[in-house]
Amino acid sequence: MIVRPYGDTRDDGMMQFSFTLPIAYSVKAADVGKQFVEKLGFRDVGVAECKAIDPEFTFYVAYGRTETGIDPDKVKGDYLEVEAMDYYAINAFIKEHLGRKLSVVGAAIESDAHTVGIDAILNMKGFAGNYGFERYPEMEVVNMGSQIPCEQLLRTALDRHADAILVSQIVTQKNIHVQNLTKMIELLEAEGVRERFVLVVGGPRINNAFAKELGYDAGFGLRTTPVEVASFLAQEVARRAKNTAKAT
Amino acid sequence: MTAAGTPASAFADTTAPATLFDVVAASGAATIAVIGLVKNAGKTTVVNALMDNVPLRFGLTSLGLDGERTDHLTGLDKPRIVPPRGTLIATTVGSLDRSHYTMEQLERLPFHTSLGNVVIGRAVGDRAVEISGPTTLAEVAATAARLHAHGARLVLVDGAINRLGSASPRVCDAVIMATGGLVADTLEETVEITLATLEMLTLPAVDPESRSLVSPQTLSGGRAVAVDEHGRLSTLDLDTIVGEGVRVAREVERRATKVLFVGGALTQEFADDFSRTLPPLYSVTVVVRDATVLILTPTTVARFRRRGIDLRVLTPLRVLAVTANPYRFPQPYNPRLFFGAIADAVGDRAPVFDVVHGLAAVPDGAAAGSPTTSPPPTPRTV
Repeated sequence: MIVRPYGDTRDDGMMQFSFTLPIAYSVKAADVGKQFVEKLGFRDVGVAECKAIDPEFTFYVAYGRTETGIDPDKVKGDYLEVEAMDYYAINAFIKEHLGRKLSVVGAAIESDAHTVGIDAILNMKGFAGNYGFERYPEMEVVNMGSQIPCEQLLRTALDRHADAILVSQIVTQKNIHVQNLTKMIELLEAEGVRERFVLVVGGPRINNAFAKELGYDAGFGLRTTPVEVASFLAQEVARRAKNTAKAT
Repeated sequence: MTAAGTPASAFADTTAPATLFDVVAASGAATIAVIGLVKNAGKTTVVNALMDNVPLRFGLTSLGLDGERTDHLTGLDKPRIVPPRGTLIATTVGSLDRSHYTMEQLERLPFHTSLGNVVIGRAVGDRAVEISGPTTLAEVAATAARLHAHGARLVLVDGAINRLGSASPRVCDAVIMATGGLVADTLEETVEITLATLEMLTLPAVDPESRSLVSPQTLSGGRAVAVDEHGRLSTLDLDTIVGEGVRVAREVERRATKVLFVGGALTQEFADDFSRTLPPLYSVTVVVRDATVLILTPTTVARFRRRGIDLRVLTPLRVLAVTANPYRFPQPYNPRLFFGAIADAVGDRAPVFDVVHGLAAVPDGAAAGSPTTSPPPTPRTV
């Protein structure tokens, strides 16, 4: 079903804009803003607010109508199929389905000195009103910090019998960051232990499809909260435990 | 090594201009991994060219994610994949969804990925599809076996980014190595890395006598086994040698080891510690499973050799060809110049091709018995 922006009535296509143009405010400033929005393809444009915010800048609030619609069912992404759970549900789920603590080792690897991502997910105080993994009674967490060589992360994961390895990386277009991430996978494969771990990668430029391309089991991007990662880990580790039990 | 930038003269007079397609058709390989030294090295272009020009029923899967419209990281256009009708493809439910591709599904594999399960189906032709296979090498190997079971004569495994893992004999029986202008900042460096990687991938097998001393079981779980000059075996008391370069070097010296078998990965860190700790002039042969467990800078192999450490493999890889892609951002290399530099450096180690510009350098005997009349590569119009 096609949907359009909702203003006062269904399908009226009304949208609100706020933007700044680098022009000094004058009598014609309102028309400049109006014609700009019309050039974007909107009809029935009205400028509600037009103010100087600086001698050389004018700020606008405007309205306009669009004919464009979108069918939400046709939008295909690369979203993880995970049931969203809260802190209490996750702990209960781990207790019920694993019967032991879920062990997690995380680090920002190789040349990456940024700890903000891995800390947001693992540190007890958490991020955006969400407790980090260290607060979860049913999780055992090692946060190794930043600039951890892949070799060291692997050794720690083996020593701790980790269920999951969390790798944090700020990926830029420079090849080095991508190569850090693929190095971790190649190392696990060469050691013959890739199947032992749920491998998660996180970072501002990471998404799920990119995680697949790199060889990880899941990828989490900007604004990810600990509870989202924990939901995935709990369900994925439980799923694997069930499969192993079935196989033996 | 020939100086970078030498004009492409060495290959221009080649009398038997065999193509990559001849080499592949004559190889008899059942599964070929196409690996790249860097992201955007041209793996998918090679895969496309093979499917268009070699008259075999192909099976196709990917260790990474290929055929998407634009590159996630760079935002640049990526080559689309339009498998000929009847090609057997293994991709994820999520990728089929994202590329709005419907096909006759033959099997749902139990391999879970972040883009859903892997399914096998028959390509409908004329439409672009996103290919993303399973996540682990063991699963890729099993997927290739299923593609064969459904009737594929030749399975192509498109690689992932710069990963060499799919070249493992666990997955495939032959390899095409794609190099490109993005490998390094300069042509000279690109040539050097290409050559070093090729030499690493084609490391020779250990002599049969030494090989007979160990079985795959002895080396299971990443263990290391030392053999002294009397042929006596002893297993090192370590679960893994990763991070243990110093200890292993001391053990090697203490046990008067002549051959060291390594069951798991051999990393840069290990290589550095090992060669630093080993007494000068001590010579030892280090044997790994195959070249894909070498997680190190390819130039380390040559450094090892100079140091008296002879690196060998239990199972050698079969590199059918090297492909050269002059693409670089923002300004590509001149195709002939780039190709010439790569071909001169590779020499008779392997045939070199540029499938887009129709350039070929085939050493004598490399494509023996193969016909040389196949058509030039068709340019793709998607």
